[in-house]
Amino acid sequence: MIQIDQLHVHFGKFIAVSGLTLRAVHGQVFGFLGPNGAGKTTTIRVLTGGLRPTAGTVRIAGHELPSGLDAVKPLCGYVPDTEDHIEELSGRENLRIFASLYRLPKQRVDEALGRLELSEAANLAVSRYSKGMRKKLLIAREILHRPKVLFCDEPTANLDAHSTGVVRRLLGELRDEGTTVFLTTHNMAEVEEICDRVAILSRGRLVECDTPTAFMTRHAERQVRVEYDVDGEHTRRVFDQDDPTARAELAALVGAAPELRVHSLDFRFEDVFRKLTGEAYE
Amino acid sequence: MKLRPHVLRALVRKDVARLLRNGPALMMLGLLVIVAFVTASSGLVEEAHAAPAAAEREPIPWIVYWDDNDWIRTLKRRARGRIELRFVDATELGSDPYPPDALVIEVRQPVLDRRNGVGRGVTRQHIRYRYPGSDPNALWPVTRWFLSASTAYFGEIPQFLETIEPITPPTRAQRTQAALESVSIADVLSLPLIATALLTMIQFFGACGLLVSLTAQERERGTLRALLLTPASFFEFMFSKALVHGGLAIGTSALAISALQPAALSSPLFWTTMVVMTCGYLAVGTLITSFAKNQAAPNLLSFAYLLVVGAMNLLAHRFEAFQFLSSLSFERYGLLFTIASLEQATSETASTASLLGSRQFFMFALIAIGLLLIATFVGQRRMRAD
Repeated sequence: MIQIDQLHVHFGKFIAVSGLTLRAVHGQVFGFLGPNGAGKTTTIRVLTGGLRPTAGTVRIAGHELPSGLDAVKPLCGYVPDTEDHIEELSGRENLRIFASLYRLPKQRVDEALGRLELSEAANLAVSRYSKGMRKKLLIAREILHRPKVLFCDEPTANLDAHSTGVVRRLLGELRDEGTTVFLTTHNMAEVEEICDRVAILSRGRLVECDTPTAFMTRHAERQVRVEYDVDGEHTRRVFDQDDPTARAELAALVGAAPELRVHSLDFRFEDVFRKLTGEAYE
Repeated sequence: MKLRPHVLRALVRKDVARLLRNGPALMMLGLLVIVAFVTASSGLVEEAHAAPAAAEREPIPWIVYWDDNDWIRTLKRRARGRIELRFVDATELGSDPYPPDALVIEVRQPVLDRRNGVGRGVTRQHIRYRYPGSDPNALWPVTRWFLSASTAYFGEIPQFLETIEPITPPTRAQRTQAALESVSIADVLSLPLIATALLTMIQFFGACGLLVSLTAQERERGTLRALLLTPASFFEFMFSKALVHGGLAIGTSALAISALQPAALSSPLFWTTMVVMTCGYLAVGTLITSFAKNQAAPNLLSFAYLLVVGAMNLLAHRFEAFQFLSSLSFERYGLLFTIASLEQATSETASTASLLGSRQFFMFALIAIGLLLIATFVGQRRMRAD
């Protein structure tokens, strides 16, 4: 559904994206991660037709961008990280305008509002909405026309725990309906929970692309944290259990200081991310 | 460049809904219309419409000419049976020719217009108006006929050098009395000038100011980007704005003129002028919006635009080398044709067909519509990148 081949985006001498190659199939939640300034937003701008690539090809549903943008627009939705509603109008009016542009029946508006739990506030002016409600309205707007590809930039930012759950459930439902969800997020728990495949970008280059499980299997580390007192001074140390030297050192410490407190540490996806992007900076 | 009805309907609905919720904008337009109705309820409108009959009774206005050319002979023919005028050759006048109650239009020799004494000046036909007593507005009926008939003769709005003097210079007591009396705008301006000023403000605000403000807001918020990601094209986006803001400007102008000069509503010249002026101001608004990515910039750019137009007109007025600038200003043509359409609406020598077919009108339409096409192209290049 999404094909990116050797994408290069340069702004003068600054290289925003370099040699990016990716594939995302239909019915998949594809996580697109990276530190700030890695090139994620630039890539999404190319995918949504807002930017022309310096080199490389980008295809969505077989249509090459930017020449095939008019054919791609009805197939795509884009949930940006900033709200862009028509503030003077109500949530319902905002959705009705976009529904009219796609020639959709009015029932779609009520359906979208219901899915995002915005029905009660639908007739209030958007200027009165909270940040979370505005975010949900954005998502509601972009799923009106049941897009084949949905680009989401931080879809759960500013949402409370309940709304976050609603949105994640919705993204999962969209995936099950065959939509390709292209998701950028800084929330690693979200990546672990809903992403089928993840690409990590750093300094404009693709670091690695695989399923979250494969990332964990390949990069997770077994670590313990040890706390003990020496001459009245409290000490903490972390030991990598996969490192023989560290294991031997720990064994020696256990023998020398019998009053140790040992805690095993969970290695999460966030740690994988930090490990991969931190190494990329070295 | 496709225009799909369902897309236009949705975009027009969006713009209308935003306008209806924009209290300050509606207040401003409402205020301009109220000014029109207040002016209409003052004595000015009744005087303007009643005056021709009074002028035709007494005193009989004079037209004094220095050169019995084809123009003067045409005026004589046009006046016959329509308006009572006394045509007098200046060589036949004595030293103190005018009675104190005379209304006189002197068609003098062409002179070099060097008002304010700067630059080489421009040669213009000199017309001097003489009025009795202390009320220059007494001249209004005969000057309206004279300008209308001259426009019909020349086939375009003539650029006379006009001066105005009383027949009898006021005494010191009269000058003091005049200074003590409160003066309203109705004392110094004719109805067409007041109406033209109002219409220009309505056009500028409705077709340019509001367009710039609301579109800049959409750019800044990112709404434009969101709309362009739908099947709507940029051309449809701007076309819908032209429909809404153009309709607002023309509709409000019609409402204002229905109070001031209702006869103008049946004048093809009036409507054509309004449409062309609207196109010009839409073009200016689109260009300003193209260069304004946030809401702060448009105010500065609009002000800069007004300064540029003022400077162009000033240079054209003072220096012959810059006179061509005035022929590039659609606002100048718009003002002239608006005045002409309002004057001709009640004139017995109405000749809108000749004005609509004049070279000046062709230039007016060419500049305004050409500017609109350029603005659309520039806007598409700059705003689609958002």
